[in-house]
This record gives sequence, C-alpha cells and structure tokens, in this order.
Amino acid sequence: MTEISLSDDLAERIEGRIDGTEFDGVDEYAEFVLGEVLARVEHDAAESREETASREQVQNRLQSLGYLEE
Amino acid sequence: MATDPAPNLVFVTVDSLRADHCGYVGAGTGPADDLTPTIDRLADDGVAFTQAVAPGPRTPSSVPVFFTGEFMSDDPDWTMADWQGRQGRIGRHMARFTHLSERLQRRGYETATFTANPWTTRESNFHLGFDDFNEVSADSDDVQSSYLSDSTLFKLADAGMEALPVDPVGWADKKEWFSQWTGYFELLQERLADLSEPFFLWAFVLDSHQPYITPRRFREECAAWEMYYSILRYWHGETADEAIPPHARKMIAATYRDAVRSVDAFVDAVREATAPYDPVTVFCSDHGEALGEHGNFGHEQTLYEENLRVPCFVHGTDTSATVREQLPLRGLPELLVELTEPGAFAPRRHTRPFAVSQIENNRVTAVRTTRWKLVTREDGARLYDLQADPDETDDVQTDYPAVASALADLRDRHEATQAEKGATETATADLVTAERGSL
Repeated sequence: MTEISLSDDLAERIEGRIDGTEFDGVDEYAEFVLGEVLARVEHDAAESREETASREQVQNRLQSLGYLEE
Repeated sequence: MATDPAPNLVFVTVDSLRADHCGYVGAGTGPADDLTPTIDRLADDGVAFTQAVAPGPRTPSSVPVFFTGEFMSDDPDWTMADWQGRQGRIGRHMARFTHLSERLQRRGYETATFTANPWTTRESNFHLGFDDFNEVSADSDDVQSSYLSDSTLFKLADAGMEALPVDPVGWADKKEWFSQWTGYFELLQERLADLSEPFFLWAFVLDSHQPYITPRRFREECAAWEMYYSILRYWHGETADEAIPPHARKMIAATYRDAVRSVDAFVDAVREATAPYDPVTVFCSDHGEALGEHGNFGHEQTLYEENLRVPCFVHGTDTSATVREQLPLRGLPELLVELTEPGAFAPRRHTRPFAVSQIENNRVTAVRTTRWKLVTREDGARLYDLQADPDETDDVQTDYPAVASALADLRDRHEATQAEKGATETATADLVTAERGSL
C-alpha cells in the first residue's frame, strides 16, 4: 500500500459526500474515485468488447436458456 | 527465510445449485441426503460456509458482482428483452473495475477458464484478465460444439443436423441445452497440463441449470423419458403461464436432483485432475433455484432464500472449520486474493452480519442477516423472520419495527453509496470524453 496526502479542504469535502454511505472513510472514497478514473483511461469499455458471435447466435443462446423471459 | 510459494487456485462455480441440495448444508432436510458426497467431504475437510449468500438471483445479477466486488450501476432503460443492453452493461462493469482474474494475473498467476454461461463471454468482457479463455457454447471458436456433450445420441444428432442444408427443428438454438461437463472435461485437463504455476483456473458449469439434461450414468431417479417429459412440462408451464401439476413438479424436482449428482461427479473429477498441483479450491454456486416455492420454477427475479442461499467451501488450506456466519459472495475477490498468501486465510474475516442482494435492474433489494430479511420492492418493503418463517410468507414489520428500521437504514446507506458511485462513473466518463475531444 502507498500513502498519499490530501488537503484538509479535499478531505472535508469527501467526508461530506460519504456521510450516510457505506464508505468507511476518506481513503476508501479516494481510492474508489482514482480507480474509476484509471479504469476509464485504461479501458474504453465500448471499444474493448469483442464481438465474436453474431447477434442472432447470442440472442438464440440466451433465449434457449430462459434469460429473455420475465 | 524462504516463503511458501503462492498456491494454485481452482475456482469452481456451478450455475443454479441450491445450498439445501448439498449435504453439508441441507443434511437431514430430505432433498440433500446422499446427493453430494464429494462436495460434502471437501467441505468437511476444509472451510464450509453454511450461510453463503448470492448478490443476485440470476447469473447476470450475481457473477459480475462477485467477480468485481461491486454492484452494477443503475440503468434506467433496462428491460429484460434488451439483451444487448444487458450484455453491454455487464461489459462496461467488467471493464470499469479491476476484477478477480485481473487481480490474480497481476499477482503473477497464469489464468484460465472454461465457462459455459452466455453472460460470461468475450462480449461481456469476461475474457479480460484471462490468459486462456474458453467459452463453451454451440458457436464458440474455443470449443467445438461436438464437445458440448459426450452422449452418443447427441453426437449423432449433431452430426446429422449439421449435415442438413437447413435446420428444420431449430437444432442450432437448442444445442445449448445439452451442455454437459462430461463433453469438454478432457479439454480442461489438456489445458491444465499446459498451465504454468501458480495458476488460477475458473470452471463455470451449467449442468444444474434448466433444462436439467443429465448423462445417464448420473441419473438415479429419472429415466430419459421422465427427464425430457419434465423439461417439456416445465417449458409448457412457463409459456402457457399455467400451474405445473403435482406429478410434474415431483418429476422436475427429481431431474434436478439427478443434475446435482452430475455436478458432484464434476467436482470429484476436478479434484482428481488437479490433485497433482495441490491447489486451493473454492467452490460456490452463482445463485439458487426455485422448485415450486412461491409459485416459481427456475430462477426468477425474486430474492427468496431458494434464490439466494448458495453452497460455498474452501479446500486445501491449512484451515478446517464450519462457518455459520453469513458470507456474502460479493467478498469473493478479497477472499481469493487472501488465498494467494499461504497461511493468511482467515475465513471469518470475510463474513458479514448484513448481506445485500439485488435483482438485475436494481429495483428490488434485500438486506439479510442470518435471522431477518428486509425485501424492498417498488410497492413497499416486507420483513421476513427466516427462523420462524423459513418459507417467507408473512410480513412482520409491525411486530418488529426496530428490526425493520435498522435494515431499512442499511438499505438506504447501500443505495446512497451506489448513487455516489454512479455519480463518479458519470463524471469520470464525461471527463475522459471531454479530454479526448480536446486532443
């Protein structure tokens, strides 16, 4: 684990946002947000999805296993 | 002083396996007796979790969550029929978070999988983090469709249908029903031999997913005609929205038990094949299965115990225990990462007094303890006393207002957290898009 420092102002603002949530503290929130940004920069979700099966094949497979019914 | 090397990890996930159909959880309750001798033995020898809880009642609401440790963000446009939207949502979720296979890959593990479920594919980004990704399906480039099953009848039918210029009976769509571990297990063994250590192998099998088509050698209760009749009766009941008569219900339950026997045989085969590599094995189901409870069969968008209670054990560490505290499967990434350090595994570190589960569109939420469950739908909340009312029929909010209030607070905190996480996702997406636009 690596420690980073946040300004008091930033830490206060984060504390205000995490009140009433499941975030355990400022560091957990900061790690989450940084992870979010990195993931977005490292992966473009729309571009990284491979399409190796035809749409009809995928739909038929999901249909046959009951995944498209309420 | 030299440290012990990281152990090989084998993660077995079984689709739609009920906890109460595994003897180490449901022994003495009837259906579980003698169904799962291998699972029971490994659970007894290792760490057996008797209160493992799935984060969702179906694969798309469960597996992405226990692979990432995060619930999926809301999608206001979600509909059941929009499979492309649903698949895209899972794909964005898997790309957004560093998930289980990626975490292990970054720790130096060679990662491989054989996965038979249509929601855990390349299209939904489940290949990320796997050095060797094998999708088991009728149209997979990884595994020929002849490996879906080792049944002679299936192979003959498949060869015959493939030779026809047209597909008069829709065989291409129905081949998935016959996906059985016995068909592709030899491929799994071949891949296993090629893996460098330490390796992480994830096997996700569909054998206890409906329709419950089970190889003859594992069927102890149903003949082939009974198995196929129960499938037809099940599908007729679903499509005609009719109640399934008692004799058919009994037959469906019996075919399910035979499917569970096949799953136990798979676990035994994996145990034997991986024994030379001395792995740590984690076993779980992704969700349960209804067999007539609350008027449901299969896995609907409901959060009853039959949908959420799953078996889970860890075998091959130096720890043996029966853990009766609640284990949310959402914590599996942390559990598996802990297993990479010999001697570090502390089973109860991963238990929680409260577990949250949601249906796929996040519009129904359950907050569960080992005794209580508060289920919140769009039309209100219901509190169930799981000990006094295991069938979850009576809402006891007015009898236990303090319990209902406490669980509602937890639900609200969960929703506030998800809202905040969704806001950061949107803000980040806008930021990156704007940055790219300015380049």
